[in-house]
Amino acid sequence: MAGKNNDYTDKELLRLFRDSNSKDYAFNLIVKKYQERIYWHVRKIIIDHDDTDDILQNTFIKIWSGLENFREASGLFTWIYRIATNEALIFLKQKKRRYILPLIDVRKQLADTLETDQYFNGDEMQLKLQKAILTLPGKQRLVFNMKYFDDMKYEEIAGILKTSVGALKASYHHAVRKIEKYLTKY
Amino acid sequence: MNDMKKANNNLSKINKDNPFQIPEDYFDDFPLRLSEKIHARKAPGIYEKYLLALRPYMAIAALFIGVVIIGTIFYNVFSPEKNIQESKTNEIAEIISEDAYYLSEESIIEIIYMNDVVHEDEQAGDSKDNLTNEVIDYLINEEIDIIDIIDAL
Repeated sequence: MAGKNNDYTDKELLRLFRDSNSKDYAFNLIVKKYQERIYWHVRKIIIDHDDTDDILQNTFIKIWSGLENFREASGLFTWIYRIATNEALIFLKQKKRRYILPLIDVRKQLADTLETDQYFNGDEMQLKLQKAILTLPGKQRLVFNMKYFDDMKYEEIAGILKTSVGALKASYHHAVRKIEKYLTKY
Repeated sequence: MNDMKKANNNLSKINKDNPFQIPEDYFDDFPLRLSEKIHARKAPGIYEKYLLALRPYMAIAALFIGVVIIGTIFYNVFSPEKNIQESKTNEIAEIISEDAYYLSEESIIEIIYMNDVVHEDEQAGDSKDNLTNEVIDYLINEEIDIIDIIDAL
């Protein structure tokens, strides 16, 4: 048995969750273990803190509902990341549909949010980089954030996005080139 | 490959620290807020449970009603009788529109008059049939044999 709090492995947490006596306790540990990583992953996609908070809650509610039937075809970490990513992408799609906005306008709206967001404290270059990232197509944006900021392995990203390592490498390569071009231009 | 290195070099000049911030104690409060939200989600009561159990039957009933309504509408719109009636009316309208040019008022009156005469004939035929039936009924009721009548003649 592992030590206290988040020293539990994912397998141990799952075993605790499946025991009705420790279900709530195990879920609380899972939330504490992953909330920060998932929050920052979603925040980089959604930009706005309040929207990210909503998505984070929805993500963990889905995890709570689905964890009993989780068959461990992938790791818990991968599964949670996948749910969070899907929730974030669905949110952006709904936003686009709600305001009948093309995706490019949604990105512009996110860039405007960056400039006015009280919870963004980056310098001029960091703001420029975030704006450059927002110009990337959806999947490239995800790949760039996960690789560049979260320093995740290609194999991990491949498991979450259900794609090949080769495709991810190419995607990251294109993303870096586009960002560089943007940084030079503006 | 050199472009990639150059790009990465330029990127590396940018501070990689997280530029985003969160409200104070956000991650400390989050598990509690989440837990409250999960447990506040209403567990289905008895009424909801029955409603859930009846849902498939209600769906079938709604489907049946829908089929009946659509069928009735379809029948009323596309029924053959109506089609025949409509096509006859259209035919007559077509004939009138084509031939009206050649028809005088007198000829139309004549056609209507002839039509009435034909109907009168048909009605007369009907009254003859009625008379025959009455005679037959009388003979049967009075038990008069048709052969006796022939002999009497």
